[in-house]
Amino acid sequence: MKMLSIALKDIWRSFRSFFALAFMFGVPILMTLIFSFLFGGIGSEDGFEIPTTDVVIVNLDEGSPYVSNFDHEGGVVNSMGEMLINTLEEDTFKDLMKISTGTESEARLAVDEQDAGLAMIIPANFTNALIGQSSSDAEIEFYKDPALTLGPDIVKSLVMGIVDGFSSTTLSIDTVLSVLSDQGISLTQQEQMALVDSLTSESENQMQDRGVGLEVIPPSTTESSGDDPIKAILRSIMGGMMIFYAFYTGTATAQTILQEEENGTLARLFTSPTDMVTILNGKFLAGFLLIIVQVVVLLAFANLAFGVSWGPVLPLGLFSIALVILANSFGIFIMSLVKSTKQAGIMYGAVLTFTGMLGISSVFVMGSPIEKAFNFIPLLVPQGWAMEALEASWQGNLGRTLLMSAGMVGWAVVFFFIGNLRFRKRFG
Amino acid sequence: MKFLDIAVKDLYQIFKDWKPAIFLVVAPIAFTLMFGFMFGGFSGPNQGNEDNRLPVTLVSSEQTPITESIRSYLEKSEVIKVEIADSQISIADLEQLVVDGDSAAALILPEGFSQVVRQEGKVHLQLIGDESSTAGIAVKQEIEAASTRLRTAADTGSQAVQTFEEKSEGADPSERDTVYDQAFTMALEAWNAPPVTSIETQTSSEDDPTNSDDNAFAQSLPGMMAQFAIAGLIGAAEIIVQERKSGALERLRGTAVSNSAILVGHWLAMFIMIFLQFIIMIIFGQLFLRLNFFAAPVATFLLSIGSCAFVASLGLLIGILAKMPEQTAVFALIPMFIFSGLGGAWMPLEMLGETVQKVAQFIPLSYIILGYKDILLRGAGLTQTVIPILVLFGFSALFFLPAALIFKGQNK
Repeated sequence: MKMLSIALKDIWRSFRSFFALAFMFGVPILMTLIFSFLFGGIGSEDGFEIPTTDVVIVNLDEGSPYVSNFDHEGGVVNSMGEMLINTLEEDTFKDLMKISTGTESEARLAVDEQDAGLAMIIPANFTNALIGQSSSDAEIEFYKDPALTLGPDIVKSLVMGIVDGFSSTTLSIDTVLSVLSDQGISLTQQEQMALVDSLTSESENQMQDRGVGLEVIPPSTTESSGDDPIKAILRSIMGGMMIFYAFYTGTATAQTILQEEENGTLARLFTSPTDMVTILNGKFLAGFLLIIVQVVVLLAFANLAFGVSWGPVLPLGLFSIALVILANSFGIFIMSLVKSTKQAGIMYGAVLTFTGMLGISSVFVMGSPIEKAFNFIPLLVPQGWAMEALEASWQGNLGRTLLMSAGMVGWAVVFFFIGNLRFRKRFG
Repeated sequence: MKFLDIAVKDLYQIFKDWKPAIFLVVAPIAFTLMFGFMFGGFSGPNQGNEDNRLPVTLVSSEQTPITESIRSYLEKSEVIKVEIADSQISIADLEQLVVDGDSAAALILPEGFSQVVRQEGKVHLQLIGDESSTAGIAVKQEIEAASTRLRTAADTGSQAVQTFEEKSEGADPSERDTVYDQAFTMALEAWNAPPVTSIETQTSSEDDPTNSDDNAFAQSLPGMMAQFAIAGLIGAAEIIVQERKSGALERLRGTAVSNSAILVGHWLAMFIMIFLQFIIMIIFGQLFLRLNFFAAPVATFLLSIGSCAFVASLGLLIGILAKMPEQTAVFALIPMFIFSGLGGAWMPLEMLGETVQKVAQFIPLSYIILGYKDILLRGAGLTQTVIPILVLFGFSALFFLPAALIFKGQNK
């Protein structure tokens, strides 16, 4: 009963503390809200927004003496450069780029002064290269603001896709003529013109159907939750934050041992018939109950407020119990290393933030080229095991959840043993 | 000069413990590397010496001249690195490869693919990939471009066969197939040297071309440096709280030391602590991350001064507002997360929505990051970075003034 009394006193104290509540509930929810805001999850139904890039186009294309005009969209243009600009000015692309035209120096200046994100310079031999009448290849220059990444890259990819469409006729004609020549067949001027017409119309169809032949299938493990990408991101963030701050709660609860020592209440407790083991167990129980409340509230809040699905109940329950035990033991271990509450602050800041961010780093590197490395690096810290267990849990992978949860309990036993030993040595 | 004594005393208190070093140096370096590599490291795909193309597993249910041509074409890509998988591999295993990060995506050429291409001119590719990831987006763009080119090759093959049949009566099916395969392969190979190519150039200092390196650490280092400077305030701000709690502040006020000397002393200690961190991080970036801060030494110096002044003022306000030592952690970590998230420390602002970009104009960290990116990527000098520097001094005043007023109020 003494153990329970100590635990209840600590729990009561925590729930009366604004700062304990802030760490337990406020900051994790705030962080998820910030991320939700960052990814457009609030006030936007569309999810990710692709940035609109300001593009200044410089058309140096001189056209060709061989073909004086080209039919385009019911009108006539004098060069392929002009046709490219007209295509880019269509409504389809207006969300991706805002187009203006200018001279080369104006365009470069606009990018240098950050008035535009990209200058696109169409070379003088653009038309001639496309109709196979240029002695050298044409090169479109994309002069970009180096601080921008996504927007200019998307525009470049789009433009080169359209140019591919323009190039395809020339490439096809050259290829067909070459293959026929190998078969000993040559075409008259008239037959060649008919071939050009046929291939041009195929090329125009292709430009309309760009990407139609590609079916992108998301891996079923990422799709299984039934969440949209925003919800999946929010689930990772909320899960990460929950783990991050569960460790804070465990540490804050263990810190009360130091506070009691400094206030003299611990010495007073020792004069009563209460041994160190009972006191430590009481503190452990308080932390245990507090983190249970924290985890349950955060899981429920994420589900109700953000519609986050946490997956099957059994693995989630296993993970939650392991998290509670681990975060609590970690707190006792950490606080056994410091001498006073003065040092505790830096422990919160340094050790918990560093290990916490490393442990949940897999959330930040999702889909990046270094994602694979971060399958292992977070496992160097206990928070990493918790994150792995949670991910396995929402994927419904009971075996892996069990494995990772067992690992968490393994960490917890080591932490509890060392922490307990140090405290008993100190107060024994 | 009494403020100097206070600053020296604070610095002694801060540095007598080794633990602040974790915040000031180890954590920002670790997270600079993590976020930097996340956004591509030193260079974009295939621009460095090593092969850093995105691995894509290719599964073909059949071996035909058409599928061989496609494999050969994709192997020359600068974006993706083709890894051939056994044709018997299951969809579930392919998905697992993508989920585990062993492959950025898996490309499937299904059963009967070549026949459909040959007879109908249609190219139907299946790509298993995560479109919400940067790697998934890059692979999709590359395969989409390849898909268009494959269709051109298919059309070319069909056109070659059609013309061949018209010109040579009585051609047998094997001759037609040969013509088709030859035209298809040649057309696909021709895309390796298209008539129009692209060249990418970017704003850079004429004196120093290294500024224009495609270096993701130019985003991550300033962001993490600023984020952990705020986190590092926990210990420094706690000194002010402890001073007040222990009665040392009362005793200090009983001496001839003025309130302003106490305030400036504490501010200066924080400033020096953060400035030291900035110096270490800048030297680290210069030496190991190919970030040329020294291309514009005056701008780098003044921007660092402005950044440290802002963070120190924030720290002063935290120290004065916090009533208990542990409160400093909450007061420092909350603005750290908000300023970092909305200021573009974790993700370039242009990747975020318009609303976030507008909000970022009121977030001091966005000016720290902007200023350093201007120097590192755009080759900017003092003239171009003067606005971020002034704004940071403005933010410094904005946090210092309430700190001073509250401190004065506490004195009454």
